[in-house]
Amino acid sequence: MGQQEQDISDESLMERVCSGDHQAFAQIVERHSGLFYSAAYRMCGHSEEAEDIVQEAFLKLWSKPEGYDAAKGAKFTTWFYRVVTNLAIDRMRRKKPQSGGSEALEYIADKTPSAESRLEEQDRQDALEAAIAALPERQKIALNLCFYEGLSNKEAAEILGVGVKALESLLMRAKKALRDDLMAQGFLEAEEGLRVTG
Amino acid sequence: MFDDLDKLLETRRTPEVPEGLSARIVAAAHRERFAAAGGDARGGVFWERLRAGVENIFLTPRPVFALVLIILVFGAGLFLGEASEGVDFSFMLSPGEVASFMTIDDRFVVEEWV
Repeated sequence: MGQQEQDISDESLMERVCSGDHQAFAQIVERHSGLFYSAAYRMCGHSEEAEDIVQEAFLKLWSKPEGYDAAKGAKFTTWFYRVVTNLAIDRMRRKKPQSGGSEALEYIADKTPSAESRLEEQDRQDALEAAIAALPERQKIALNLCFYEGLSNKEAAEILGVGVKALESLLMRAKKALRDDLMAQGFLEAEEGLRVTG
Repeated sequence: MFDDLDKLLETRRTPEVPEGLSARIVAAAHRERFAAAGGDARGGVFWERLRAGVENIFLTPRPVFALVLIILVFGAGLFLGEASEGVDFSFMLSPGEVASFMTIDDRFVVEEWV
């Protein structure tokens, strides 16, 4: 992608997408598919499902680009986060609860010190993923949008359709629940920060 | 308040983006547009919309439509039955013709007919 192409704003590209410009659409996809894949993955915890969500969101964008109205003042990414979030919520609600939670990486069987530390890291990652997956839907989305996607509270509140105060409350409850869960499992200590392992 | 938790949250692994994801999305969008254009070329935009409209009105709510139709036909039958005063064939046949029709023909010979 050339520098000139990178300089074009999402909003200008969307104007071209509205007039059926496939190249502009391809540029938008190239620019943001990774970002929104990560967001979808963090919400649903499964790579195939995340890919389906992102593809569906972009196909919706292609078939009905007029859904995005730059005149309303919303950034393209903020608006598209909402599309992806809604699709992810739909899927999470349709999906039956699974015992495994999110996908786990393969374990390494040998007993070398580095392998042991990798196993511990793996355990911590799994516990973290499981704790996040166990959060109520809106708390999980609030945490993902603000902590991992780097959105401001105002943007995240807009995506979730709540006020900023309500979003802050969701975040607070999410963090409290996570801290309690991870403390109970021994991955966090009460006042002394991260548990030192290995 | 959540410093320790924040540190732990920061260690969460970033999902790896599948290779060729954007190319697959762009190709799917291209196929979708091509399929839509093919549909228009086959029947024309007008007929396509007309077909969709008819389907929307008559075909989509099939069970409801069928039930309403059955009730209407049944109601119409009841109404017509109540409104009619019997069937009158007198304008077609005279009493003499009816009498001759009802008389048994005792001169009937089977062999003449078989």
